[in-house]
Amino acid sequence: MMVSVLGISFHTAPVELREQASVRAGQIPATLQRIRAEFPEAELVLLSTCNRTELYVAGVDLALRKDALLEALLTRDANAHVAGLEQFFYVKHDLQAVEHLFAVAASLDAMVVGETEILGQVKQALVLAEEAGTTGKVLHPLFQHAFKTAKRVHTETDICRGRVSISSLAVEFAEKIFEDLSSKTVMIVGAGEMAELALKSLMDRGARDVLVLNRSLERGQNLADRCGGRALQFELLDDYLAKADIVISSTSAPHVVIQADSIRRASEVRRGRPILLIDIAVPRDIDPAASVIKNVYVYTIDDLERVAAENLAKRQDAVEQAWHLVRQGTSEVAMLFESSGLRVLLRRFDDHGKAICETALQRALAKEKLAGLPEPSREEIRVLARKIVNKMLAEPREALKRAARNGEWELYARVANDLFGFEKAVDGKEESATEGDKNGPASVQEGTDREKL
Amino acid sequence: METALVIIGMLLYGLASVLAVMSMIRSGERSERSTLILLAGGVVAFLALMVIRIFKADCLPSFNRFDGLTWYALALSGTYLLMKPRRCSRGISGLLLPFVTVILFFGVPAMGVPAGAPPPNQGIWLTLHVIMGYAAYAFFSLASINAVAYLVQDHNMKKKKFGPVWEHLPSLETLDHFMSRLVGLAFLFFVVSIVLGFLMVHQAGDVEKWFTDPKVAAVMAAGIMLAVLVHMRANADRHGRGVAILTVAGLALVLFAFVGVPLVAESLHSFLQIRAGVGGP
Repeated sequence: MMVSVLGISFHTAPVELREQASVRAGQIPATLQRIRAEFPEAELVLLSTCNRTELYVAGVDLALRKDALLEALLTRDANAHVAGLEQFFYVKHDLQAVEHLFAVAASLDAMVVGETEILGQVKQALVLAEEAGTTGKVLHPLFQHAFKTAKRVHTETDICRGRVSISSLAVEFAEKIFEDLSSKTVMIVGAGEMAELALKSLMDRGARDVLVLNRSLERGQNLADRCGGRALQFELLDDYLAKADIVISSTSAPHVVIQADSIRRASEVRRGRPILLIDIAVPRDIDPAASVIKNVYVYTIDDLERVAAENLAKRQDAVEQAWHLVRQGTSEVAMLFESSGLRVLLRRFDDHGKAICETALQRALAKEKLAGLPEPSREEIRVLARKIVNKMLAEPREALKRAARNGEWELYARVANDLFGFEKAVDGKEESATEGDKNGPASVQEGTDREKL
Repeated sequence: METALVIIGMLLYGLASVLAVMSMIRSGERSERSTLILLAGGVVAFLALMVIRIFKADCLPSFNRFDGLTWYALALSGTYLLMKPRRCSRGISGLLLPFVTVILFFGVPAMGVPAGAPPPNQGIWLTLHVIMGYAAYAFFSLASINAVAYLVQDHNMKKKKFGPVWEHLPSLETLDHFMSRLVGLAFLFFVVSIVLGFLMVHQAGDVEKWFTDPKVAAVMAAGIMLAVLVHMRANADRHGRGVAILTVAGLALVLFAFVGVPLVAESLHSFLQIRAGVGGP
């Protein structure tokens, strides 16, 4: 199959090293083309995220040429070279590389298991490689299969269920209370980083009307400018509370900032319309007594962290099932590649048989004794000879098909190549059948060849 | 034939209920489509049964307990199926379907009881009165089921129980809006049904006698409850938990008017004094 991956990730290197190895999306096509210039036979896809930089390679024996490829990958513009990272790179070959790709796309090999963002990044990596013209008939179908497997993992397991970050949980709570966030007013009390992250998540889900209240009006104004909201004097908090549907508080005040009475009054003005208060400050900003007021929902940082931990645990429970699907996908791809190799080998069996027949017949018929033999008799001898050869090759052919089905393909194909001298016969003009069709597993795209097995 | 259809229908409703409850309480359960298919099958079975009964009775059969409750269950199921594509009712099947199945089950023993004859010479007006009444009951009951869902979701949010039920039910605001629309529709159909009933009674010249009928009194109480709810929604702009509790209380009134009255008192709606039967709307 000769697919490999050369990469650095959060498993092997801290962020300060990973960022040196990373390649910005805009630079990826140029980087791929530069590597392709050095390895014209290679198919390449480069995946670069905050957690990993990985180069997927087909058609190059990375066991032999790892150093050269790594040097090409770490060479930046104007031949500037990132040094000292080599020891943090890992290499995986063939099925291990395929399984790794599938695990990455399915978000199993992730810092936060089940975060679906990585699938989009892998898809983007393939698009960029296609733009650069460095994908081919091996990596393209392989990545398509990775997407299919990732989709199965996401839909058939609980790996992506439940949100695990504080900001996304704030959105989840908001969506369990409100029908449509675009018509809701979000009030930010205290312009902290955490509150800003939560606000950004809410805005990503459609929230538009934002009020920012901060002790320092200037700092509040900065946040309001960044999110297109309005900055208000902190003293106006009680006046505007009834207008807010969602309140996120994250001040560093050592005391309660939003009193239960203020919330009660706001709730009365709102005539039973719900109000969501998320308190991510320590010590707490919102009076705990507010949680008993009707139609008021108060959540603290502890609540959010507890839910995040529970969701993460649920995801972990699904990891084994997800790995099962990844392995299943990997073996399916292996079979498809093998069936592709099998086709090549069986074709060679046919060609080999025909060639033996023709050579033997031509020699025999060229002899004087048979020179006068009429054409119908010659044809009968030719048919007979082919039947004998086919009969002799029938059992090896069946054995190869059985081996492909039983996962013993590599060994049988190598033996067949040795026994019949196919690799010598082709004399370097064609690749070994064990490495599959030079055009890759066409059956991945056609999806029918497995049935032929 | 009728018995076979009842058995098939009950089986389908029962299975749909089990699936709906399971999908509500089990994390990751994805059987919504199967539930809908089973429910649709149950509706078709009971609808076929009612068509057969219409042909047999040569009028709209709704004057015994079985017919009355079957029409009520069909109206509820049909309304739910019609609103399902709008996704606003997502997740409430776990509450609705067991309720509907129990209603049907409660009616089955009265299947063979002969229905009382409807008042003479009322024709299309009586049919319309009955249909409008069932539609109003269905809308109001569905609003009440939504109110129950609202209260469950409110409880989950307040008590911070973020389990499968919380996950499957829609947002509080969605349930509130859906409830509001259904109450409005129920009130509209209720008013039309009551007006038609009053006109029929007026035509028969029996007005005083009918207004002392306990069923009419109970229906009027349910109607007043609906009016209060419509006022709270439309004029006073009230939302949330309080309105949801009132809407659930409304369901209790509807059920009493529909099922309870004929069991505790004689009503002019129980035509020919068929005591085993429950009157029409």
